[in-house]
Amino acid sequence: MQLLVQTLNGLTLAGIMFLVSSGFTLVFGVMRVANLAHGAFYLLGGYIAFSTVQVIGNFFLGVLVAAVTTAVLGLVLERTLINRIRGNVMAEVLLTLGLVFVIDDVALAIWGGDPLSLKLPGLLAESSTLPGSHLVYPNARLLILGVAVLVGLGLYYLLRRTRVGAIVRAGVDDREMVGAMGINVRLVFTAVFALGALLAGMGGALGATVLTLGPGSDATILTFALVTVIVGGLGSFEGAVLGSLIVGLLSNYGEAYFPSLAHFALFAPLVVVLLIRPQGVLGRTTA
Amino acid sequence: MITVQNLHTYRGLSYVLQGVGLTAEGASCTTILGRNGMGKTTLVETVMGLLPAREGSIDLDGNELAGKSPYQIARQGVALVPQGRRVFSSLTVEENLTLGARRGGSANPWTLERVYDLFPNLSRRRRNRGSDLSGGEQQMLVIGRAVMTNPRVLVMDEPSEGLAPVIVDLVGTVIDQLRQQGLCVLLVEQNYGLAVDVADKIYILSGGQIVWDGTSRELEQSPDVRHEHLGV
Repeated sequence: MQLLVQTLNGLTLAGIMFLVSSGFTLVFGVMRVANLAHGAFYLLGGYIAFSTVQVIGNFFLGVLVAAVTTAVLGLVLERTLINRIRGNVMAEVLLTLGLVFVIDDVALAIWGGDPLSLKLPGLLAESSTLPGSHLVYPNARLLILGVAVLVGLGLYYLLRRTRVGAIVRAGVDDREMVGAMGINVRLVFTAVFALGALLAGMGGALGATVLTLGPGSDATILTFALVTVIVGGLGSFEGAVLGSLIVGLLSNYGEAYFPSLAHFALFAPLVVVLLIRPQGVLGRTTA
Repeated sequence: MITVQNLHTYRGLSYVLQGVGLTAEGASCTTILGRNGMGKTTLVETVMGLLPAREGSIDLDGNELAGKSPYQIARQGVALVPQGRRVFSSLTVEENLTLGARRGGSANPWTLERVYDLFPNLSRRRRNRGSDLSGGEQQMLVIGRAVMTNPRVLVMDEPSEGLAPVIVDLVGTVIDQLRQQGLCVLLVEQNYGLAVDVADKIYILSGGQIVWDGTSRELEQSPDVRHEHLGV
């Protein structure tokens, strides 16, 4: 029973990891930008959802407002700043790192430095008995699992079954050739960056219900996302799914069963993957 | 008709194209021959907008292409069959073909059916990923992908590279068909045999400049030119 609960907890964590890392890996795969501000989008999404829930009292609206706000912020930042330094890797890293400081300080000024936890209203604050067992599990965590699965299916459909998805995948393969096919790659970059920010913001809103939210949460989640995408394979959607499951489950088992080795449990798979298959489990070597 | 005048291009710090000028007409195949490192791929990339022209003009039926981005140039009617093929390896054959598909104002546009008629192999492998194809099939795929944009000018950068002789012959036949259907083919080659077979007009590029131009027959009859600039 305990193992089942820990597995469910690990899956919840994996759900949050997936929301955050799928956005990160999409942006990296298409734009070759390691967006270090991705964690800051997560933090901002969490805070915005927190405030929206406080004011309006509706969690779903909170998630929506957080996702839309971070998407718009991502869109504006891509158009006004990242756009200008395209292709200059060092400048991209420094710029996104600079954005982290700015966003963090703005968040500190608005929401303060004390860790917050998003209190869910109504039914979501309660627990349900899982069918076929006597296991009682919080509704909020079940919601996270459900949302992560739905978003995953939605992303899969977008990437595999639509023309937009084909353009994004082609961009991962060879973005210069996508431009030479008559497709405005800059527009694709902006859309992907906004989508990545949306996913991070949504992850923050959901994550804030089970993880504490405060200064430093962004760095923690970014580290998790980095481990996830490196294990799964940078730029690979399936890799983000697999990486999230590995990182979420291992990290949670680690914390539950051998807390002193929790970080080891998280980073050991990273080291093993880097040694055996540096491009990630589902990653491709760039020829 | 595409007219290139006084084109200068740098690749990083090195001065590669040093005043290239040439003309390619519709319904014909214009070939640029030259040894390795003479600026052939740089010329292709400059025409496609992948490298910026430092100076000079590229005129396509009255529209200036120099200074435009690749997607704008593609929409003006230039399609690229790049060196090394560069198929979208994680897309299926059919996705590769439809990705940039446009009618392009053509009266008798290229469609999936026509491409599959031309390359029956691709039709059989339409659900396969680009990375699953053989080299020859990949070459057919990128030619199909390019004509699906219904271009006015088809720029091909060494389409014979790394292919078996029988496939090179097929590439030649396809170029011939495309030309007969009114396309302006701008072929950049090292393969002398293929070039003289299909070209209506030949330019030789050496040291970043056009050093000779004429017809295939004239080149066949000029052993000195061949020897000096091509080593054949």
